[in-house]
Amino acid sequence: MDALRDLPSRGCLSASSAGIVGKPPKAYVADHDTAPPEGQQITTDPVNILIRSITQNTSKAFAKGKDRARADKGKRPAADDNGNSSVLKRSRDEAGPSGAGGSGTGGAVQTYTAEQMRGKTAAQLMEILKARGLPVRGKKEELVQRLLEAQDRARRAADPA
Amino acid sequence: MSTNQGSAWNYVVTAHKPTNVTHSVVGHFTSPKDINLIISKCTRIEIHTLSPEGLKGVVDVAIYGRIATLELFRPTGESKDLLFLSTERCKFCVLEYNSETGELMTRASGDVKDRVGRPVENGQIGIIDPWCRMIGLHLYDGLFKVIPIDEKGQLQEASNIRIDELNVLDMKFLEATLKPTLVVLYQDSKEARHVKTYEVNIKDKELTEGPWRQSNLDAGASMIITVPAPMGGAIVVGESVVAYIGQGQQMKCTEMTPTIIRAFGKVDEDGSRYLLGDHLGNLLLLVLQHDGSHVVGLKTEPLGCISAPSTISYLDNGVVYVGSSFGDSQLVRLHAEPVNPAEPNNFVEVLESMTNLGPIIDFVVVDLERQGQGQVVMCSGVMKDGSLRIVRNGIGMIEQASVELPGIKGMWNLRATNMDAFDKYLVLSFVGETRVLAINEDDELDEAEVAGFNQQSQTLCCANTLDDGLLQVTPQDVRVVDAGTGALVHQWKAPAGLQINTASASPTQVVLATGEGNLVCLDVTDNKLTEKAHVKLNGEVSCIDITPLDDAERSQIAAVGTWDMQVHILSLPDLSTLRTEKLGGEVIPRSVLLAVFEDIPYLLCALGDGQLFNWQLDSTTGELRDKKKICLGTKPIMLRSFRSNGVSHVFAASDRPTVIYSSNKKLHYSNVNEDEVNFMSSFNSSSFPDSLALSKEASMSIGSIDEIQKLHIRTVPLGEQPRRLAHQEPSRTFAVLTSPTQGPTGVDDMAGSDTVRLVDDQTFEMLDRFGLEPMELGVSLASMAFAEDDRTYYVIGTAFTEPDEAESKKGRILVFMVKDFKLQLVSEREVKGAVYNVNPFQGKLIAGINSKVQLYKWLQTDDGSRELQLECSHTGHVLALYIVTRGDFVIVGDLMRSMQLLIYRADEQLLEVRARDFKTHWMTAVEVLDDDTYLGAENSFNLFTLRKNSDAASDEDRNRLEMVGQYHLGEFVNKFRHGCLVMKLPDSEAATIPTVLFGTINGTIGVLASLPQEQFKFMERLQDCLRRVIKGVGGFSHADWRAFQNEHTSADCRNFVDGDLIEQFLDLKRESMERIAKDMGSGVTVEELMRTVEDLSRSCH
Repeated sequence: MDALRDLPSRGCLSASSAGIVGKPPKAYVADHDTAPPEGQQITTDPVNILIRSITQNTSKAFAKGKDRARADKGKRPAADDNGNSSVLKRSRDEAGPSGAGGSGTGGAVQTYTAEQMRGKTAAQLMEILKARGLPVRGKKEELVQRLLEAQDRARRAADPA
Repeated sequence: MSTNQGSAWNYVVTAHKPTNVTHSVVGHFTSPKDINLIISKCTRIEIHTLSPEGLKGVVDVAIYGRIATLELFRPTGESKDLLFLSTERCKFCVLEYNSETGELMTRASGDVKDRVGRPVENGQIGIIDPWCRMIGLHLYDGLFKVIPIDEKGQLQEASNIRIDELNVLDMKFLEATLKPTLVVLYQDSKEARHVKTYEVNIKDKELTEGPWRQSNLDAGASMIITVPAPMGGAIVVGESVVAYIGQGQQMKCTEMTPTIIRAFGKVDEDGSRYLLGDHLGNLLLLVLQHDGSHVVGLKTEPLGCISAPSTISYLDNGVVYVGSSFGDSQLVRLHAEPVNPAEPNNFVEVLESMTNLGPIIDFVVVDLERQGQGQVVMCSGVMKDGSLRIVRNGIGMIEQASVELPGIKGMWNLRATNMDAFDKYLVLSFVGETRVLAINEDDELDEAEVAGFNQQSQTLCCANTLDDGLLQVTPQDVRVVDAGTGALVHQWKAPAGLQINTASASPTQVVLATGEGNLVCLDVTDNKLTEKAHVKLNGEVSCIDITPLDDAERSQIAAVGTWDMQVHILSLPDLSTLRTEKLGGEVIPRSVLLAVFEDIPYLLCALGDGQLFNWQLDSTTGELRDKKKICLGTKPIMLRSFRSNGVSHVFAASDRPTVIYSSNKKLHYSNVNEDEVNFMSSFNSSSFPDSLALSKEASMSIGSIDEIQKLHIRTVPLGEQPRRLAHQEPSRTFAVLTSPTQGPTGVDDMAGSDTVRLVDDQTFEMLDRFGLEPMELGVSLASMAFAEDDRTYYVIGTAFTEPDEAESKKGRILVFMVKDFKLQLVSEREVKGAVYNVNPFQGKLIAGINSKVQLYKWLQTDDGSRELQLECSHTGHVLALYIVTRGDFVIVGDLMRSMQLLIYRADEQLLEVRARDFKTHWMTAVEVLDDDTYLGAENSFNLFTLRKNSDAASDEDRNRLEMVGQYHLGEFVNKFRHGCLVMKLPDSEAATIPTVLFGTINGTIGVLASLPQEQFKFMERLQDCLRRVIKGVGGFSHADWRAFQNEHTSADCRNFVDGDLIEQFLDLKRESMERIAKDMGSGVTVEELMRTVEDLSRSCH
């Protein structure tokens, strides 16, 4: 068969058939230390995969915000890497009580003008507030005010200048 | 209480290591220059080096885990490869071979088990990025675990990544990609199979869509092969289509005859050729046609037949290693031309087969020679690789030369001169003739003549004399010839009318018998024969020996056996009787021998019926003490001593040749793996160093023997899969249930039905076969006798299978008689379910049939024929898979409900529950250790013992089988049987240790020895001390490994000791031994420890 020509050779097993398998290897006795070197005892990241993906998303958004916030200071990356887990925790704590995880913080958050808000029904406003994790009690005007303040806060956080 | 707990302490040791090969890899592991083949045999790895002459074994390493994956990789900056392995319990390690010390260093290790997650069903996957950026593991459905490797080759913390595909069939890292890219073959909920790629983002611990995907592949696609750069991409192997998928290319496909590909091996470094092996052992070549950077097409070519492979590794120069789980592993060579012109389609030459006993499906322990040593006959192998294996312990002989020479009546070795190191002559005696063979100048054995010898007469004895003479005793005379010239120097003629019957000689003496009890002692000084003494014994002399006991030239005593069943010890040269020992019985002593073992003189005396006596002898007073008797066969034994490696041995030639040696001041007997041997002479010549000459019925052979006894395996290929076997003593046959080899798709209904084969127990030739009905499976088999019937029958239990039935609803119990070496169906009974087992029980038949245990009587009907009649039954099992009985007790091993103890009340014809284990264990084998202790094996590879609690106060406790011992064996046990692989001598300690043998899927034969409590506690302490000195390779812990563990529970090993670890004590360095002796405390010395361990090990395997 031509396809079997030029089989690769590395200079071993040139002998013909007989005795090609030698004596069985001797049994190994591990009478030496077999512990791995320091730091090479590997464990699995204990953070649950679900929690990690959530915190990762929030921290991404958080980092994005931070990023913009610190743009002119220009010394972000190292701090971010090291402080990662503490940032994660904090952002999770923030998201925690309001109960609505990262739903509103993920992508571009739409901002509304006062007019636009007043044009909506109270129910619609409550939905928006809920989505941002803000209290939904009060009269319509209070809701509009609360939403405006929240937007202001967000804008200032994003761009302190 | 102590008798109650008699078998609760068990010592588990491997008699035959696992041989099932699951993985193999090739790389540079032991040094940058060496090419290594690394083989995984489930719980062991073997490292071999390739040399021009062949494979050289480096080490054989026990791993404290069942190996799930094995890979070699080389992180940047390393000069040689590292070995990554992971175990089924989700531990892993990275090993490096230290070329200087020969030690396996642990580079990294860890436990990557998750607390939640469903373990993968299609087998764990462990893969390494070709650029060594990460190790990927798929251990749980929906999770992909990544262990990143940094630039320095250090492993980082592992993390789980979600993977959307729940039913992953195979996973690989693509080669030559900028980002580590995973290619995943999976099955969706509609059972369609697809392949897709993912890029692994370590930083974000995310998988992102990769460069390509391909949907709806072959429905049987099961394997991914990645292709190296510059082509890249991957081959997906299916059942009838092999497809190549690359980035930005059309998928290329080739069709092949439908089959299931089980293994592949890369031939060329650039990935142009691959070897594929299917489940039937067909080897295919897969060729990628390419233009250097793009695959143009692909094709497969059948090459020939190999064992059904589990792994294929191309080694070098056309030589390929085929590792198999189902048959023998092989080394094959590929040829461009057909190997044999008669088979134009076979390009595969099998160079060597490495025996694999696995899977051991069933076995029996038989003593075909009736000599107290069991040999194991087992059902091994799967489908076409199915075979019977006959395993026995003994000393092997490596034959170096053999000639056809019938009628040899005696053999002696002679040196050219007394001081020579090597033998030159081999004197062969025939009726009325003597022939001399000699080593000639070309170092060849050739016929020669010694002029002074009488070659026209039988020879009774030959020896070298102290003064360089050669001595020959014939019935007529005693001759001394000059060793140099061969000329006759002196002669002593037998008195007129008398013939010399038997004689023995030392370098300075001859003692001979001239009939009617006359015994003459001659002195041979200066090659002159002078008569020193003459006595007349009462009985006719049958055998004489005057071997000097202290290696001197002159013997002080002679041993003489006589026809009146006596052995006399006479002093030399005056022939006065020192002592006379009556042998008793009616068999004449045929051979006596004086021998020294470990500085203790012994007298051995063998009778004409294969019995052997031995005494310790006082060499000055002739006093005999410590008489021991053993039976070595059925025919006359001829004793002869020889030296091997400087240690004295005695060879007992008979129908069961045996070597006798001594260790720790005890005599040991080892079978020689040869058929009947009539005479033996040591023949230590320059061309055959340390050899023996053996004469058999029609031939004479020269060879050397093994230093130690070991298991010898004989294979009887069946060509189809054996499932059960049984031995029947009266008919001297085996019955074997076999299943036909399935068709190419594995479910060929046309392949025929199961058969019962009748096999001769000596030649293993098939005598008869009986075909079962279509769709009927042979499930169980036993040989048994019934009450009030003196014949012995083979009883076979069957099951009918319907394709859409979950459980068999119909089966048969067939009773066969063997008549004229044919199977004769005597009785047949249909039952409602699969007959999982049939067992003799108090002259009746007890069978496990689906969820019932049923007892059948063997009744004679009015017309004289016989049939089985149901007497009683017991329900309430899930599936009563295994049954063992003892007295009135019946122990039932259930599919999942552990063990139940039933009691049979014969007067009430009733089977009722006596006690049970309330835990869930999926049983694979059960056995009774003693009245109260029962042994079980379950499908998480554990062993456990249960005890009946007869003395408990409350009913509740009495009804519970209490777990008294637990142990993780790490092997799937298919069968337990009482028995032993070594010769059990009636007077030795070994005989008192009950042993159970077990056979596993990996081809391991194990021994479980029930030790007395005190000895067990000692061994347990030794095991603890050993654990501190002998560490688990890869940092795995022995205590963890042996801890009982299944899906539900985990508990420390209890009342079992790992004999494999204990026996490693003997391989330790002296200082380690001393440390252990010190740790053991209470003044135990290294020598004592060694002796204890050796003795126990010898009595087990």
